[in-house]
Amino acid sequence: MQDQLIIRLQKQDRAAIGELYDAYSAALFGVVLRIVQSRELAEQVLQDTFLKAWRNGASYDASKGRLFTWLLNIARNTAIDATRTSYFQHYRKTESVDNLFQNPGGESINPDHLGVKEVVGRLDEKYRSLIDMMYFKGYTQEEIAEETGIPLGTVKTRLRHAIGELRKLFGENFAVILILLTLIMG
Amino acid sequence: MDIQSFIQSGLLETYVLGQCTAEERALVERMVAAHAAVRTELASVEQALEGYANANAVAPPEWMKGRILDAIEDRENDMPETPDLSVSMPKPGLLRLFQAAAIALALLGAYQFYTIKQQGAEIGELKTTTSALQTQVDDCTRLEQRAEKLRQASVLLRDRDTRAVALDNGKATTYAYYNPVRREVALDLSGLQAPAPGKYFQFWAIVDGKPVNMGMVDLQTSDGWQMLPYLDNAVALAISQEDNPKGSPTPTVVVMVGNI
Repeated sequence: MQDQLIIRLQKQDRAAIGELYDAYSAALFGVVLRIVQSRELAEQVLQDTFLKAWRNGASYDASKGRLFTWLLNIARNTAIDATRTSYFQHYRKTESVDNLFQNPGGESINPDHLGVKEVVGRLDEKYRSLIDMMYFKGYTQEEIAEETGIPLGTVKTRLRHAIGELRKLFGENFAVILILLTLIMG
Repeated sequence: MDIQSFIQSGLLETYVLGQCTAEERALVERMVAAHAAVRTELASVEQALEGYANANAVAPPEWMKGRILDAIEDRENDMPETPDLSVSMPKPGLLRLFQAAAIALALLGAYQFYTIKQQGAEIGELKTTTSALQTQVDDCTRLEQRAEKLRQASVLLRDRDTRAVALDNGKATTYAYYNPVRREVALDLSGLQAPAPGKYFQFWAIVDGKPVNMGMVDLQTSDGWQMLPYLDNAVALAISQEDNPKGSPTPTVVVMVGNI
């Protein structure tokens, strides 16, 4: 299935983009929204991301990583570029990021993922903030070290630990944890 | 490099996060191609971060998908053709001059090889340029949309039937523009300071001595201007501060008010 989709993507098949959109748009939109902190701009970035994916589909090489990683890198770079334009600088709001997710239109975080959020909530705060800075804000390890005053070596070790924790959460045992949590919370 | 210490170096994690240097990236790709254990490890890191992104997913608006597929269809219709690179090889000529022809052909071949390589590089550059231009076209479209919005605001501002309504809280003033002929109301957001965290602004018109809800002030998506619903016979406009992001049936705390 995935292989077929990749071949169609590499041939610039428009319908393949539709399928990619169904599978990944919500995860990508969540990341982009946190980087640009404006719904209007995030919508534009999401559109540009899929246009780029369609145009550059031939450059995707499955042996170098998963489709999602490739898409996410396009999305993140597009989002970070967007934050550097004067348009963004002018309209950047000081409101807290959380407000972005309370959309008056009613559409919001996918309820399917509520169980997942509970699990993520168990991640140690120092790990979570580190992953969020890199993943959702595009900071480099050097920038994090500078910003937080934590030595670069420690940042690197913590990042590995943090992803190790995520692997525990999203690895094979994940389904079991989810079922247990669902049972406990009834 | 020893596989275990490579895995523990943290390079795979930064690779997935797109933060490697070109050299590090090449190293990771070599190791991934060469060792199944590294491949498994990479897939696991990717899966972990993908899971985290899914846990933080936000559904985009429903109309997004159609807009993207339409934009692709538009571009499909004016895609440049890839230039044809096939080059016909000259046929060897007279048998008498076979040797000379062979040498000439070899030289010609070398020359053509060089030319094709050059053309390949040029095509690569052209593709990069096309992609950069496309990005600029996308930027222009965005700016056009913004200009259109500002143009509409300026039409309203220039209209002689438009009344500027100063909304004042004693410290700051922002303006709403009320036009009973065009039946339009616009709010200039530039004079409005963001509410305190967890608070939201709601807009009201006072009609027959009663406040009528005109919707939430949207500081996020509007382009410095927000068009609001028009109501006949309004005598004043007001902004209240609310705890509920969807607003309240009656104003909780009125923070700015101005007579029309």
